Amino acid sequence: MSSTEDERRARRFYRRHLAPTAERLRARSVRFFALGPDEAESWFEPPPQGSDFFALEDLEGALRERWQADGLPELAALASRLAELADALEIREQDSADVSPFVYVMY
Amino acid sequence: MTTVLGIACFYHDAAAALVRDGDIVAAAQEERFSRKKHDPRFPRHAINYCLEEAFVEPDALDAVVFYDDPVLSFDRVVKSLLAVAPRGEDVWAKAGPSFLGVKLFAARYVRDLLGQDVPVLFTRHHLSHAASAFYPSPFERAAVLTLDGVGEWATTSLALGDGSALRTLAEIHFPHSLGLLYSAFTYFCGFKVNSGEYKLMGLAPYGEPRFADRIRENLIHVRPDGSFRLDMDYFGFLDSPVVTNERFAALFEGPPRAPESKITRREMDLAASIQIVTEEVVLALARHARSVADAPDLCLAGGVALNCVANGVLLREKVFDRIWIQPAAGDAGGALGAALAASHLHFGVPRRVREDGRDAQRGSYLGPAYSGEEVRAFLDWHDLPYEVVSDRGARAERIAAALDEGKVVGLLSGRMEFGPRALGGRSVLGDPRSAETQTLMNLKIKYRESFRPFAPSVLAERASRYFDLDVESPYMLLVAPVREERRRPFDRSAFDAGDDDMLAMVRQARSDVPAVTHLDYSARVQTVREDDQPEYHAILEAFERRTGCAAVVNTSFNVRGEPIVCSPQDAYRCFMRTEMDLLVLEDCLLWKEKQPESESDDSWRQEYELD
Repeated sequence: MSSTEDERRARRFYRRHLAPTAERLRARSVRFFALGPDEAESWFEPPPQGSDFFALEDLEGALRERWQADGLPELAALASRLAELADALEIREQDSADVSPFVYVMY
Repeated sequence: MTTVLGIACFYHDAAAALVRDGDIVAAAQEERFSRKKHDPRFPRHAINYCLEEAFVEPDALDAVVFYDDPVLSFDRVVKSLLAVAPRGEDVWAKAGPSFLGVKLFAARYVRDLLGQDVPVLFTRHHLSHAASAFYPSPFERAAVLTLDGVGEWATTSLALGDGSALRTLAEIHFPHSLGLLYSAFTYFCGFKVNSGEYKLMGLAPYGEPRFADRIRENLIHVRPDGSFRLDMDYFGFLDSPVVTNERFAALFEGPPRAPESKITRREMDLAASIQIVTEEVVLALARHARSVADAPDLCLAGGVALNCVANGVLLREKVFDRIWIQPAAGDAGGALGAALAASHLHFGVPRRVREDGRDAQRGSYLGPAYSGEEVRAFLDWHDLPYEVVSDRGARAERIAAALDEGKVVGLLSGRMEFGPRALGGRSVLGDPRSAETQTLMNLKIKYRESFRPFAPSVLAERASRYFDLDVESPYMLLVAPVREERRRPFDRSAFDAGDDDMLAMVRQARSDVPAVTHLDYSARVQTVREDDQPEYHAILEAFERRTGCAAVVNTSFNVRGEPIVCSPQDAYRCFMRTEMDLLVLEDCLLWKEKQPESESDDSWRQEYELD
């Protein structure tokens, strides 16, 4: 599959699934992180819970479990679709040619 | 026997490392083999090298450990997208497929390459960094601070290492990141993110920190315990393809500098400003680490730990008794950390701290070596003229004589370094006593920006004669002041009056070792011990005998945009493309004037994208 097709597929997924999910979560005032300072005395966070080492055989299950534990059923419902999208995208080496080296590739 | 292979890839600087019974056997970055700078791809060449070096078949591996948790990283990606939706679609469309199609499938890559059903484990990004810093360190118990752009959710972590145990105590989470803040200024000043940070640090002494208050008041807010938050109103990395935004530009008096355009006083002042703020935050975090970890020593890793100016400040402030910094502090070092963490924490291999007080990083000479026979076979095959000087002392004398005559020497000796610094294994050497060396090596050897400083290698036993440094710095990760009595006044009146010509100042002698003395009389020092690199130590001794100077200029053996050379072939190619005079490949000496004509134009430069 070409990168253009991958990009088109990703956009389609964004519009059909991610953007509506964002709206639903926003409607119930879910906030994932602070966008600036607040009144807290410290901005340290506790480290993640769970084992320091794990095997990853079931991506979909791991995502669903994480988002259910976070109280985010909207996201948990997306886990299977995201896993399907991941499977559909051809496995190949990362080609960053279309992402400028002057940006931080957050992904 | 427990044998663990660690891998890091898919972001930047892919690498592999092999650890046996807790001892580091081999480690290398993929870029050195693929010849693509900062190569993020699955490190198949580096893995093959590590297995060969250790004489290990894949089925003898107890585990392959990936340095990052892809589920947690994906969780951050999805939540970041949702937080800014409907903005962010463009970034997702560009970068999402590579994440989904590649980064979630590390285990599949491993099994495809190794052809075995090897156990593949995953761990966390900052735990890998922390392990890379603590386990090779000479400390029985230490606080561990890791700082980088982002790994899963964490951008900063504070941990405690004690014997074989390593426990994370606290983290600071995305998007609040000191690494990303520094990268924002790197981008804004026209340098590449993830590689130009070093240039920004080198630019800082040219400027005045006149923007520091603006940064403190608007961009980063710091609590007394060192924890911090960014104000995301000024940054674009959540929802746009650039790291800063218009508000950031308005705060700093105009748009970002275009890459490769003239560097102005504004960029110099921005560099000075973000450097000082970075140092303040690192110091505050270190002070907090000292108070909560109750440990006398500190280990550092993560990309921010490559800021050797901040490291030097941390050392001089004496917040901790001793500091040890992982030489491969960036993502490549995550491969080593993942293997070490799994060895000690998962497989229960007891950690052994060296009794002689030295670290277990082996000088960071963890990559491939090439024997004299291999070198000669290569040279004979290509019918290249060379001279064999088998005796180390005689060879060192010849090299020292060349340096004394102002010649520039390429040196390939022993195992290749792991990490971004060349430490005498794959180095280009020059005479530090000449004020012209910096300009010559920047423009005719490295083909890079003229303002960039060079670093000295100095005999460890002589370091305190040259620099205000009372500890060893074997990995070139500490910046120290040149001693007062060696400094010379230089004329910066034209520059201070507004003339932005940095080269005019660079060409003035600022000390009796001007080529390695930066504008602020600082130097990024490598101390060299005989037991770490006997060949390099012998060269320095010979140079001192001949000249009275116990230091040389040491820069990485590459040109701008090229990965540091790995093999004799790489070294010869780079030698012939630059104005180096002498190439030393183990015990073979090659003089430029005796070599056959090679490429007559410089079209080869297109091979390397400028960094």
